[in-house]
Amino acid sequence: MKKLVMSLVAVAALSTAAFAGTDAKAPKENANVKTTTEKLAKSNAEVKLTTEPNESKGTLTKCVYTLNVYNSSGQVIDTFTSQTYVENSCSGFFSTCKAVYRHMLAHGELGI
Amino acid sequence: MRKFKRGSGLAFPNPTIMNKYFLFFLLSLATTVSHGQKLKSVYLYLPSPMATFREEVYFQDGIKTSVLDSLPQPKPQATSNGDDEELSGSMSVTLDMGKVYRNIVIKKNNAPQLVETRSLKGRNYLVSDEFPTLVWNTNYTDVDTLGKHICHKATATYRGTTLVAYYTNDIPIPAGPYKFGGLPGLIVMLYSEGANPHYWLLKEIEYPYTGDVPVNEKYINALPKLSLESYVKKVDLETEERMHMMMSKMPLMEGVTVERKKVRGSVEQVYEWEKK
Repeated sequence: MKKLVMSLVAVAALSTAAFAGTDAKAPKENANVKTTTEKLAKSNAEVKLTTEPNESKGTLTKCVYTLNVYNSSGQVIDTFTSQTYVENSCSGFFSTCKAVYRHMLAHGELGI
Repeated sequence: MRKFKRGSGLAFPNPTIMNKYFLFFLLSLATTVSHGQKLKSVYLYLPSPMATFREEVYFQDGIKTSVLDSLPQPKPQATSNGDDEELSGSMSVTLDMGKVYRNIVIKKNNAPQLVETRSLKGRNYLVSDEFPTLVWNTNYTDVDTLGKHICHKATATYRGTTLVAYYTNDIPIPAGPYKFGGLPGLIVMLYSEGANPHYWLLKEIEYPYTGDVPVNEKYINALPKLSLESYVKKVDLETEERMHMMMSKMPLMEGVTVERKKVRGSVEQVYEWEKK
């Protein structure tokens, strides 16, 4: 239980950090599957964003963020999933993951 | 016109044997008719939702040459919504693995081996493939109209996946995209089944085609040579190294578990040497 509370505090802190200095948006529930594309600021990597339904577990919601890696031939070669549980919406966790990955990609810190 | 009724033939009381003879007859007819006439067809190839490529297929005198562009087709302008991005649960990145060359596949009818050009770490190779014979099941009653063509369904097992093809008897050429063909008519649409399906859709046809095949055989034959097994093992090793490095650089967040799942996103899921 202690560990769980610690985890939640950590996720909340990360979400807060990710939102700091940006225009925070109200979290939205019941997202349907939608896809958009965008270009990274300092990289040529194509980014595809997809919403995924979340699985609720008691009062906690399971959030899974997936990073799909493609080769130059457009074939998927690997996936990395980050998983956690939050009290309400996953949007904060997703925003944090996205911000972290985008920062790392832009600075070449993922080695790709 | 006399109708060919299944199971009523006197010479072939067994419908399976009759179907085999009929298929052989159609294939022979297709080969005979197509002999000497050149064909050019253009397919759109979708290996994933991430990219679409253009592939040109040429067929003449039993030799099929397919040329796949190295660069994907430009994407239509996406309509992006900031609210959707905040809710996103996944992200996709393209790994830069060096310069990519066109993938050229040259396949001669009735020859078990085909050759293709493949890129690895920015270099181009001539790769030989002991291509397994595709045994098409054409015993389907499904008929679909795709574009202007009346198409028949066929399926085949290929390297750990199932291919589903729709071919047309309107163009009696036993050709199709990538390494595929051998049906009584030109393949109009083909896809592989599985978690990461690949799609090929016929977009253009020039038949008879009067131009040349834009492939420099002298250049191709001068490329360093590899067997497909050797090539695939090298690519797998390179990918594994890159992904291992990426995994080691994944950010650590308390309460968050990160897992890696290796995926073979090519059409081929299991090669012959991997079954041993």
